[in-house]
Amino acid sequence: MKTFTICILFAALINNYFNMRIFTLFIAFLLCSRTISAQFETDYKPVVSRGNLPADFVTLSSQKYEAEKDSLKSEKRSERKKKEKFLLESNFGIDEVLLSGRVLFNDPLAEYVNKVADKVFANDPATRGKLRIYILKSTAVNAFATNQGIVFVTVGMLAQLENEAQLAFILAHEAVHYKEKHAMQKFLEGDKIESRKGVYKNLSQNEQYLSKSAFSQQQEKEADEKGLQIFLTSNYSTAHLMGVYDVLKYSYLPFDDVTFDKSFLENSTFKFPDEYYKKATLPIDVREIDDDDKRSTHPSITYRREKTQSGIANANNTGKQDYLVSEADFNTIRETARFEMCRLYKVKHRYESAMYSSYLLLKQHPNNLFLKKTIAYSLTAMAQYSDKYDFKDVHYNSDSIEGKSQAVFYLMFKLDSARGDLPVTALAYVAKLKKEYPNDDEIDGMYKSLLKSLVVTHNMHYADFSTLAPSSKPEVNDITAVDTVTTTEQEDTDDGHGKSKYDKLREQANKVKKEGGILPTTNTRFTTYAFVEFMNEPWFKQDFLEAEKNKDDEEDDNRLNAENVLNNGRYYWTKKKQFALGVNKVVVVDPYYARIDARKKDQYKFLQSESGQVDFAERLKLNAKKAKLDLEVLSTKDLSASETDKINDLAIMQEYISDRLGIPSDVDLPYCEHERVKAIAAKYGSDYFIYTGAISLTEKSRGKAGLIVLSILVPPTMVINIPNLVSAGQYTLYFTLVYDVKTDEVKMVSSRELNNSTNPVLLNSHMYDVLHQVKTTTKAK
Amino acid sequence: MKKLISVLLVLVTVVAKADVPGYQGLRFSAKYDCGIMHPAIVGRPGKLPMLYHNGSIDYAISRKFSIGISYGFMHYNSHIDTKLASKYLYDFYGSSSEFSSKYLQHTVSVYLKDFVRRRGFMAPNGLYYKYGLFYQYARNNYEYPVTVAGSNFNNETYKVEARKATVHTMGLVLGVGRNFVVANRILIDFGLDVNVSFPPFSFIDQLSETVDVERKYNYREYLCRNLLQLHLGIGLLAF
Repeated sequence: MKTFTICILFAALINNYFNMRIFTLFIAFLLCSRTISAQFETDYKPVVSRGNLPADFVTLSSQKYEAEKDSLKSEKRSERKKKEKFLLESNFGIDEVLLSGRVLFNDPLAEYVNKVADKVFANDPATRGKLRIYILKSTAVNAFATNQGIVFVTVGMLAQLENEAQLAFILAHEAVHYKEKHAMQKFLEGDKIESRKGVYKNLSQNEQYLSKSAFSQQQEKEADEKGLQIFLTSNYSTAHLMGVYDVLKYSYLPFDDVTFDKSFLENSTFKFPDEYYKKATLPIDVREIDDDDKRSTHPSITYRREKTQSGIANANNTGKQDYLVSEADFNTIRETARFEMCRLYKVKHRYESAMYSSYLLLKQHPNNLFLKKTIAYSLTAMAQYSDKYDFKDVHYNSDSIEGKSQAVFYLMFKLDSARGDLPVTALAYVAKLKKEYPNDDEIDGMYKSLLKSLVVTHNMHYADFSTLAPSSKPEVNDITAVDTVTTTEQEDTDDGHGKSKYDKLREQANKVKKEGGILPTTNTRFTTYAFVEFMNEPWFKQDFLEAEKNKDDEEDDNRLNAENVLNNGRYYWTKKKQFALGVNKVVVVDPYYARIDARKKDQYKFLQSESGQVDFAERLKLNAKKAKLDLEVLSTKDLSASETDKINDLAIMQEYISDRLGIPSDVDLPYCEHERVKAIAAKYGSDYFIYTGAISLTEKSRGKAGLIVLSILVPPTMVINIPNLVSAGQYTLYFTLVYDVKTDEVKMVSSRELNNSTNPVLLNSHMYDVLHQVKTTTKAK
Repeated sequence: MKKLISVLLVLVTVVAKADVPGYQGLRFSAKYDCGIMHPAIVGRPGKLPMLYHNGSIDYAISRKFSIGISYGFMHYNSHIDTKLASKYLYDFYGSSSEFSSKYLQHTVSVYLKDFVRRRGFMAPNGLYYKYGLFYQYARNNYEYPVTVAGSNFNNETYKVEARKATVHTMGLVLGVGRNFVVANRILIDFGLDVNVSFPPFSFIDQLSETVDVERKYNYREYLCRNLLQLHLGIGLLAF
């Protein structure tokens, strides 16, 4: 396509249609194409934050809240209280997002978006000065503004936009939300609606919901209208602005719609049956329906489109452009966002989407290792999930999926997990990559994991796969035919009439012997020929046989069931489950602490939770010192401006822990970004990372009256009853997970549900106990 | 006795080798307890306070249990109850008798503390139940008025005799208490012990065999004094 376009442009030049504009476009196109191609030609390095940490990241939420609260002093008490509540919840809520590891700053994406903001607010420097724009690592197509002036633009949005002007319009729209303090207004109005005050008196629950939606829609209309005014004052052209509504309308679709060629996952001998492939996918619904949903937070796309269209009807685009920063930069940023989308789908366990997105990008960048590995990992993950009957956790029902991506979902569904189709398909793809990249650890991890799955879970053997290519006749695909001993060779010759079953088998065996191949012992479905091109490769044969040899050990592998342990905290505390890891250094990833008072209307105690988190981190250090354990805490609550590397490391480890927690314990799947995690481990000098935290809960105590009565009736029982009365309704949950990132194993799970209030001495006791078990080599009593 | 010491030594060696967390690695504590009791509890006239002193050492042998040994001492100067000698004497002198009594008690006990796991406590911190054995030696030196023979109500005369009663006994100690750790080093202990004595295996006195009432009095007083003991202690988590 690119070559074709170049030819057209050259033709234009040659045919005296030369002018400077075409020439400039031509040069820009070439430069842009080369830049993108070069950047993504062989690999993709995930985007990370750079420079110094912005103040938003290094200031504690409580400090931000206190500072903003001071500005409310002059207001009426009742109004002030509501606003204070909003400030409390919003500051803590936003910081939760900011420090989640999902936000990028000063990275190429954020830098570009900020440059666009500079252009669109060129005439309003005051507003521009207040806006802080960050990138949210989310696949959703979205952008949102906070009361504090922070604008989040998602990676999903950047991946889907058509041009820079559309991004400028979105930023202008979000700036209006900030300037008009929509977030606070929405909160206050919501409070009025819920308490049925003023015009909202006597509303039913449904009417309350509708009222909230109506108010939100009103704000969106205002943001569209005023945002457009800001946009029109800039030098951005409205020529291609309206496409932004298509971006929103089709946000549920991948960033492109290209036919998925099933041969992509096939090889010369391994072919999927035709019925596994959906040629006629569900068409995308392109009808322009005025879906005026009164329950939605936003007005309908049709309405917004019409309003914006009328707003720009008389706009003068003279001297205005779609790109004020740079079209080349926009294309690079969009491509980066698309790569990042593939990564995000993968870490969020949306493997089919990751596969299709990577497939789309591979068309442009056929030698990109990251994309190949993303597809390989997605296949491996789907295979591992299918093995353990957890397939529904990661597979999306293909019936309602619009567009050509449906074929991927359909194929994954059709591959028979019970007979190991998915692991075979995955291994065929991964083995191909292994041959191409023999020294890649991540590929090797997937490869070995799949071999193990085939051998242990599906009881397959090296001898089950053919070394010979099938004949030209189609192989047996019918599931009902699988258990028969019929082979494709027999179908080819079709001369078996009158021969006994054993004669046929002997003939076949002789034929194989003559050709020097292996006779598949059982399964002769299409998967039998999946590895023909690898079967005689020494490394493949050796690894397969090695996996078979280790099968018994693997079956006895008594791995920790993290999920069950966490669900049965008390079990592990009372059953004295002890560990002795013998580890010298550990790294704690963002310790967690929450204070919840279930007796109150506002149950989550933000301020106490944050101070508790700071204290928890310090307490960890203290107890590690006592336990003579070298411990480093990566906390989000003690960041300084120069610690950008720390927050990048935290982001990687937070993704790691989130991934590990999200994978069922019986699914044996290596982490998808093993190399990145290994680099972090090398940096901190430890393979052991800890996720730990405590939840302090107060509930309404039950049975107090009974204890009092018992104490009065039988005074000696007071000895036991009084302590129980004092601590009734107080609980502390203390949990710790220790991961060995080298092997991706959970080395220790400790979850303790304590019927007691959370106090320093109690925490010290348990922290020391856990850290001592990490350090010691002797199991304690 | 040698066998008992051998068993104890083996036990201590085994638990000392066990990898027990204690409180931040501190398993051994030494503590002083002070008990306060009102003399009226034992039916004695006298002045407050009636103190007993107790020194103990504890060692956490697991997350749930600690073992300990303690030595207790009580010394109290009071007066005897004149009712003992004569109803008439009591009527005349009342409870503020001039006949003195000096009580001395030594107690040695070994015990096991069971910390309440359900509430998250680990030895040596938190709520515990205590089970143990004690050995006790008590001695009471007192002056006893003896009626001179032939006297009558209106013309009684007395002579004061020095008496001594000594008790050797063993018993069970059951208790409930709570250890509080302060500043990661100091241990505060508050609790209640119930001491149930076995019948004394040795009760030596200088009383005539016929004066049974005096013997009973001494033993009752001894039991009451030990039955309930509230204590408040302060200690140090040593290592």
